[in-house]
Amino acid sequence: MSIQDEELYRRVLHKDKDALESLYDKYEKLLFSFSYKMTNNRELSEEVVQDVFMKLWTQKGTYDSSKGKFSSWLLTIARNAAIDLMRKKKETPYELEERDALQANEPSIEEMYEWKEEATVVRQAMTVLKEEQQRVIRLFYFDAKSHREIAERLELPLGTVKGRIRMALKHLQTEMIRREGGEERHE
Amino acid sequence: MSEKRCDMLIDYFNGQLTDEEEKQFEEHLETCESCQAELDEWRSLTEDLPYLSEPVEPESGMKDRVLSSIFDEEEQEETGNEQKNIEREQKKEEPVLFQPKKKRNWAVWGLAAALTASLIGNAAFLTQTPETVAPEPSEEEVVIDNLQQALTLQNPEGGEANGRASMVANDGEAQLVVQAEQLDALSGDEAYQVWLLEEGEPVRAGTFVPNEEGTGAVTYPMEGLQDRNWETLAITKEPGPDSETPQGDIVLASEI
Ligand SMILES: [Zn+2]
Repeated sequence: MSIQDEELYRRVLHKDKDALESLYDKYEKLLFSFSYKMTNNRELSEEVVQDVFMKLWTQKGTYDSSKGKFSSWLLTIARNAAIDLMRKKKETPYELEERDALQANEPSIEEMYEWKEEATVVRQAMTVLKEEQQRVIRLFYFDAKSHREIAERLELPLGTVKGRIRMALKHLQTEMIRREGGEERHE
Repeated sequence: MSEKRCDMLIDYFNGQLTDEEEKQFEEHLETCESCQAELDEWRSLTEDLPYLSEPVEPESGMKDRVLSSIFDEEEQEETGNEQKNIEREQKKEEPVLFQPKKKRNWAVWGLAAALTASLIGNAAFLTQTPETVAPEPSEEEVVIDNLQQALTLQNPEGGEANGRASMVANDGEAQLVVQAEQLDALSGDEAYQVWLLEEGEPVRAGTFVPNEEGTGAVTYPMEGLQDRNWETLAITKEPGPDSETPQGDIVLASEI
């Protein structure tokens, strides 16, 4: 848990513009990149970032440490904002067969300087998963597709989708834990 | 029946439900332990997934756009103006945080800051005040057509606070640029308000909130206000950003 984040958040509640700016500086790129991964659209991604900080500033969403890490909370807000905007805009600039083609120009780990530490384990774990399970996670988490659509894409009966999601996520977690080697994680 | 509700969990997590369905599902969620457990599990199992995102460089100027729209919008809400997404160019007043020590490159704030930084240099030259902040090396080319007037602002009753006010014609548009240092910190909704006085009658000419170091600045378009016989420029500490007449004490002032 970042004490610094919590302190900044507390100051934001007291309408401290500098504190909001500090949080902005810290999370801009992560939130933008995550939004882009979800929306595939730069304009929408900027709107997502704006929504997130607007919610922070106007206190439409409130955080307390019972909700887990501040960064996770912020990323959840971003995901929900991205889903909302995608639904509103119905804008899908390139409806590829999902995102597979985009993986081609994936940067190397070395380039992922800002969230390299967090990314390393999850990225390695992801590569161990079978393509099918990676696809489940993409469709479910990043594309935020509907239950029906996930079933159609995976050619599965509706009733089995939830089980597939759970299995894929559990498998990912197992691989992550193995990589972390039981060490305490840096947060 | 209940199991059918449980099947809505994916669409709930992925924001695919109508408002009505969402309400129904949230009612279900309150009593369905298996949905609660599953949802918790998904939340914790997906926590690290965002870090799979490949870094993408935001459009330049995003920070300025995002932050100023947030702070602007709130100002409009405070004044009871519901209108949203006003073009920033149309706004009469643009509060500016003056950040002389940081290298910044924001479209609007950056412009104002660079404009001000440049003016400090000019003002220092004009008034020959040796302790004036050394002008920052200019990061951006800002063309100031004409520096029409520069004033040194002081507290009539003494004190550390000081500032400068300048009238500049920039691109043919007259702007009042006010910059002040060593101001007292504000609390709550308090704001510093710039006033121009003609025959003792005050007219609002910019609002600002200083940064942690007590430095603040504001630019104010002088459209329609240029040709009046201003006698005094004053800055007061106001209980809120919307005072129509000065309510607080004068903290800085100068004869014009
Ligand atoms: Zn249920």
